[in-house]
Amino acid sequence: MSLRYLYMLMCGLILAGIVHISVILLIPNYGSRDAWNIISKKSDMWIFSNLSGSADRATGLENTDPYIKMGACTFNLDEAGLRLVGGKTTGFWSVSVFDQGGSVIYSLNNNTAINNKLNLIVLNPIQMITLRDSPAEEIEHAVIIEADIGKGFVVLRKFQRDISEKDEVDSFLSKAKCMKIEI
Amino acid sequence: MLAVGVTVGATSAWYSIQRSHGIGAINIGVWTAWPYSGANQADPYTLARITSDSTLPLGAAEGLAFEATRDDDGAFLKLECNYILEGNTPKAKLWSLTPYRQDGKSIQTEKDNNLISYHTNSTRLLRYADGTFQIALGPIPSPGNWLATRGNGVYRLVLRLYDTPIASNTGIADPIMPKIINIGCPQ
Repeated sequence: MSLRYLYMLMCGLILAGIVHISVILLIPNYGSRDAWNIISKKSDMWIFSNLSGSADRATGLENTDPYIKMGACTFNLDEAGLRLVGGKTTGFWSVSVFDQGGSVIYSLNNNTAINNKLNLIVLNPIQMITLRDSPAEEIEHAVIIEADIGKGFVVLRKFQRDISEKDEVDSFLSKAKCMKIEI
Repeated sequence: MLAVGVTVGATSAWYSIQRSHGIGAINIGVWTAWPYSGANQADPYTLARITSDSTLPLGAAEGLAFEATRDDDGAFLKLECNYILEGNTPKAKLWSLTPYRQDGKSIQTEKDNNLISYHTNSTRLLRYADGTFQIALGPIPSPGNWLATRGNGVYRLVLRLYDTPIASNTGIADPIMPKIINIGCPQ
């Protein structure tokens, strides 16, 4: 009899293990509150939009830093390569490229950018090969990233230390643009 | 048996992504960070955590966020208590310090004006001559650096370091984080 209980306990534990692992692995695929869902609802693909509402509620994103103003755009490398450009500014800014699941593929900040200017190109490996064969002039000063993904999004963050920097930060974010580059 | 298996599995999964789990985390004192949440080698737990609470992690080149839910005595941080945050942070170009309520929302609401700081950053700080600082944290106003809290209940402090070498180095060479000392709770 006790062997039977032990057997049932073992089966229960194994089942619990399977459920645990499946839940953990499935959350990124089936969650509806993730950043991709929020950002792709905010604007059309390839359109850069400002995500910094006055309160967390406005964006739906949680755990946002009150000193960080940000914008984002979604892209699909299966359609075209992505180019993200922005004006010149002082102070800290940073960019992260995310895949659809919300993992960071690449990140850079104003120190690692060329001439402190935001000029980023994201390509898939095939577009990368094409680009190497015939490098275009416009991409000379760009940071080029190879990402083996289809859909994804980029997030641009700018630190606003106090209200006096608001105009500069707003203008920097409003000048940022996502573009398709056909290669 | 089936019901127990499913319940235990689901609960443990939920629990493991809610709390500050040890997987992929680094701890410095009471502070915890998940450096791999901003890298493409994030473990499944960290990934599940990111997607379930609609957070955008900081990329390694952007910075690193540390969070604390307890003071240096091991008690949970409470909005009604007063604390002293003292010491220094690892090297970073900028940092910000923000308390969040349990539901992930900031203490400051849209109606608030900016006369009282419910969050602070490194550019607004008064420091001692040796570069260290002290911030009073709590509902009672204090001279010097004061970060206000209000209401009651447990909360979470998030210290975000921007452009910091520790986010990109695997070995953290200089693990200094401020201490959080409880200086009194209302009776």
